[in-house]
Amino acid sequence: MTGVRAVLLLAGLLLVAGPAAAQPVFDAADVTVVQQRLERAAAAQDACYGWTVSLTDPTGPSGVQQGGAPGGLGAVPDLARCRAWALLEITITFVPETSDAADRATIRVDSSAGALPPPAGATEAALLSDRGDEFALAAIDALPGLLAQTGQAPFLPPATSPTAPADDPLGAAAGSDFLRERGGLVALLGLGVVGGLAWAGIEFVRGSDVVRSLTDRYGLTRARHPVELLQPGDVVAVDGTEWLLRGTLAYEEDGYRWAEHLLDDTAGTRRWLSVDASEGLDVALWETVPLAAVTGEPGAGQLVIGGTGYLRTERGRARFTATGTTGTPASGTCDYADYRAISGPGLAAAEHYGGGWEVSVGRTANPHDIVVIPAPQQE
Amino acid sequence: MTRRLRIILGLALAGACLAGMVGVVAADGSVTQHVAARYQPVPADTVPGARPDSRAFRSADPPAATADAIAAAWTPAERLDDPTGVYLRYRDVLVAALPADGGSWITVDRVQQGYARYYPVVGHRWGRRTGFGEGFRGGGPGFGK
Repeated sequence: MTGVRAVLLLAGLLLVAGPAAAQPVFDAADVTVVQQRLERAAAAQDACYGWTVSLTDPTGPSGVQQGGAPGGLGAVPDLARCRAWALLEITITFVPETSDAADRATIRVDSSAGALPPPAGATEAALLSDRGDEFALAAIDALPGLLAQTGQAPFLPPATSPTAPADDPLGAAAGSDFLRERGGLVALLGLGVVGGLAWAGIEFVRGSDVVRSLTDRYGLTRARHPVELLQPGDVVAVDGTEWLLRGTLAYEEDGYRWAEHLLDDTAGTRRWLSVDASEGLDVALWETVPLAAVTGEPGAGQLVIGGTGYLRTERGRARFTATGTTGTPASGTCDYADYRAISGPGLAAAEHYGGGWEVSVGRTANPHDIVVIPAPQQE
Repeated sequence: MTRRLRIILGLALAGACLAGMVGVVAADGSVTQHVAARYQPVPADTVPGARPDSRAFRSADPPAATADAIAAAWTPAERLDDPTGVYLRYRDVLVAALPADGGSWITVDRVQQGYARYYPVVGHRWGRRTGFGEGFRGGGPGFGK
């Protein structure tokens, strides 16, 4: 007997818990106003309307509310008996904040002539927002208008009045039309102005003499790597080979400076070591190749050297000053083009000192793998 | 890319955006100008309830399509789809597209006068932010009140 009583008690509890799911979703006063308008429109248009709003919310009571015209709050009328009808279904599902799933809202409008697009403004984001109930009511409110717009129900004659009652003035200001329509564009353009000026300013200051004179005046020079201080007479060890530094070409272009050093070993092999400290410390070791091995015009957009394709990355004209043995005039201008291999880490460069193009291939070197033995100081 | 080129590009970007801003602000306009430029004007009292400042226009498209076109050019603060027509609320004006022989009448009223004129439709529906609840989450309106 005790067991039967317990089962009955459990069933009773379930029955009590059941009706909670049918709690109303909307504020009673708000939904009543909308419902009355719906019923007036239905009568005037000889049409039927129904709506269902389902709310699932783990942090608050869930509920389903329905209504329609004719019939009123609480039930959707039998639409099949109506000449023209529209049915709105909204489901809103909030998930616990611990869940990975996103909150969801769906809105569907069906009618006697098939599915209709949802009312303007009733988007998923709007329904999930803190004005969601307002947008849902507005969607119900829009049903008679939607049905008239599709031609299934008649439009109603304009309703006008001489005055608005003093106790119901038009509420909150609607905000600037200009900002609403063009605010985003103006903000984007403003961002472009600031960004462009900042970019130009940074490029102007960087590598300009202003920075150099300030660092010189206040002794703000940064620590330099030995490869930045190379000069003729130094011995350079790269990858286990020792080279004697024969000469240096110092370049300058629009405030940017870099250097190339001519190295040779005891067997007479020659290499160039380029050192560019303008953006980090870029060091590369270069070997001149015969022009016969080059397919394509040096300086052009792409070259093929020894079967490897290269694409041009930069081109310009720099002033240079030579010290020691370099095989160039003591100073002058040099047209150059830098290339990068289409695949792989290879580099190539074309340089023109007045006589003709010289082409080199190279590879980057880690400055920390380079050992510099400075030349003995001469008094 | 050389430094000089980068400076020129930066300045050019800033200049182009500034010119764009000046253009957008100079071309300001308003929804009233937009309607007046695109639709055929008719006497204001063609449409019932006209006020001294009312303006009226004729559109060959039905109310929803007409309102869509106007709203696409100038986004309204609020829109109301009603069986009597479509009503768009802007800061200074109320634009209504009302059904008329397959096309529509467009009325443009100063916003307070338009509110009074169409009060039977827009009354209790516009500008009632405080009257509504606080969304559905956490119980929403109708719960725990």
